[in-house]
Amino acid sequence: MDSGNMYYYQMHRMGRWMTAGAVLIFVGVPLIVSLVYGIMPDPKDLLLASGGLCAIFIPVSVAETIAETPIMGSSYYLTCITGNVLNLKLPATLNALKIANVKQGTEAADAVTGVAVAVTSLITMTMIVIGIILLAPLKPFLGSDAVQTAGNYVLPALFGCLTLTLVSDDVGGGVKIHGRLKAAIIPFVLALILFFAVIPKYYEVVEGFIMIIFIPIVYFTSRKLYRKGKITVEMPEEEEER
Amino acid sequence: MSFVDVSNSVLLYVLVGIGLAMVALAAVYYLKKCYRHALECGVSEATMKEVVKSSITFAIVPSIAIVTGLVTLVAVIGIPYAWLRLSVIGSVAYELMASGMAMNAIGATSSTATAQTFGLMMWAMCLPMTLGIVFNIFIVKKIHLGTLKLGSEDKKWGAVAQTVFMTTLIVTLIVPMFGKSLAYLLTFITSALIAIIITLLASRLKAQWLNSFTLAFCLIGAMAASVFYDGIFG
Repeated sequence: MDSGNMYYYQMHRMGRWMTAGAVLIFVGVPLIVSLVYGIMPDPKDLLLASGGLCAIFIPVSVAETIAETPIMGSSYYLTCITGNVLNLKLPATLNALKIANVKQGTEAADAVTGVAVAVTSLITMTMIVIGIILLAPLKPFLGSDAVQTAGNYVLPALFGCLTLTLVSDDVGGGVKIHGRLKAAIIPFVLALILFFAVIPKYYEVVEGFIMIIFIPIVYFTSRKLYRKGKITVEMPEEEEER
Repeated sequence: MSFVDVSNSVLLYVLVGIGLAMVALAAVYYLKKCYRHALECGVSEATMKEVVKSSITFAIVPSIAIVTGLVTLVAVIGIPYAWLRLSVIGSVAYELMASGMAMNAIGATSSTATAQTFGLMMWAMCLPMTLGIVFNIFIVKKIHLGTLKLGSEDKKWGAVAQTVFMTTLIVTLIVPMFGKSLAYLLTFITSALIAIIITLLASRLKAQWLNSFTLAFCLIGAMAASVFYDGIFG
């Protein structure tokens, strides 16, 4: 086993254990409380309460895993355990990769992603503890109209900045790719049609599935354009020579 | 026992505290391991410090948004369980939806909710999301290592292939920015403009450190502007 495989093997093993531990915590808390206070719900009521949510959230969660894992790498386990993927972990990852200037799909990128995910997870946990301690004095501020309104605009405030990452030719690690946006035209138009005309109410619920459909479209379009020379790549000198 | 007796019980505080301490310890261990490996891969110590600093400054603003959600959720399910759910896998919108469905399932309202109702609410919040992440144990490694092989026969094509996922993700996620509302779109544009201005400033003033704060500045600036846009167009 080479060092790269060894690293990924270790990180995935750790991720699987962390996920198993987290599942025990998430299930253990309601289980112990229900048993101690004798408030275990009737399975029929539970099915009625969570059946619909399971039917929606489990397939969506699997779809998101397929779409997001290639970006988050072995940190996807911790990303899911600590939540807030789109509004926190993903932007933090893109930001960290840009600062570290490492190429996507490398061990360095995987490790840098792990640092960003772990740091943001710890910050959120700390902020929530501070929020709980200061709940009474902070309530007027956190409950104010301005803060509540601003809280509804986190995603556009994040993605405006992040979209520039998509537009830039520089993809990190000294690699520049020219014309890669051409491969995004078809899915972009399809997404606009889906959002405005086909499933406006459900678009955001099924984003994970939409991504799964778009990945092969972008992949094969990119390959075709690359072979035709419409997408060109500049590698750092040392890699060109290898 | 009443709803509040259980939802704010000492037992629940203790269990949540222990559970979150374990998650935090795992995150710290993970951070150390990744940090060390990034250095081994040749990323400089100074760069890694920049990554950590930037991640901290960036994470504060979205975390404040999460804390504002905490205020809402605490009113529904008490402090300790809201603390657990929002510190880990949950989100305010999902938790409110799940708790509402639990109350509807047994015909309860917030004024008639009992300890039994709280038990059902906890499970309704826990099960769907938790079952979703169980699949990670079986599929994440296969997906990740599989995608790493894409384009491995041609380095230049490999570089393009690795950007496919990011391109797809951003294309899919930015489309709602154009159609939700004018205030939403203007917030999106403001964020992009702030990013361009900071990048230009950093380049002109040769202040590369500014780039580390781009995302944080964009977030604060665009969210502040969103209050103004929402007031006019919202």
